[in-house]
Amino acid sequence: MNKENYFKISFPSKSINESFARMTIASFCMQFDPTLEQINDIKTAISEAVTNCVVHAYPVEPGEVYITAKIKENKLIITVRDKGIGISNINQAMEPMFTTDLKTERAGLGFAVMQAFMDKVKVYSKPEKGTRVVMTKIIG
Amino acid sequence: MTKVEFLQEKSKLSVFLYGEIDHHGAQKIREEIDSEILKLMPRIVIINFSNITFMDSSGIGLVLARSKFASDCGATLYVEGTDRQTSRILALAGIKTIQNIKV
Repeated sequence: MNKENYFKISFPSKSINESFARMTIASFCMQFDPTLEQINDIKTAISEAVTNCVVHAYPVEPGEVYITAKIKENKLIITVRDKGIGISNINQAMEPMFTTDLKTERAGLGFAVMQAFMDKVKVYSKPEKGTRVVMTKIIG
Repeated sequence: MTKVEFLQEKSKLSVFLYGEIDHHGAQKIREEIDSEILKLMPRIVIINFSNITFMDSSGIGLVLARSKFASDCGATLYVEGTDRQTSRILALAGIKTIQNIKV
């Protein structure tokens, strides 16, 4: 089988779509024979990235979240992108327990989970332009 | 979907969680749990994760904030029934799982 495929989707940053993103990435990955553990890791990481868009990127009203997933051989690359408020200090945002969201119960561990569950996580962001999270996982 | 069921035995309140815990689901169940704690004023609160099929870091915030709330109400909170995935998430915040709490 030629192990090369991709998909692109976009949806509004509503919290109900967090589970939609997880189900979509899980069904896309099934064709590459991942282990149950790998599927869970990928679902968890994408859930964190999409939740960041819902909670942080668009604080006033929902905006667009774009997901691209590409697979080549055994390497899965997921990009979660938004055109929201952006992050002024990426290193600080990625620190465990750091959060700007003090009114709810968010633990500030979103990026820590992405890093723990994926093989590579890169974050690109510009204030007022948006944020792009690129995550890589070896599967199958 | 996240669902919650309660079981009270003497001064122990068991909280059984069902389904998936994400940011969306956690928002709905946290008030239910807090109001049950407030109503019954237990000494021990146990959150049971054995029927959870998915959890992300929203579960950490849920547990830490419930622990604080329980403590403010004079109760101690424990976590049980975690699997490999849920305990990995909770371990990132230093939350450990216990087994078999006796009243």
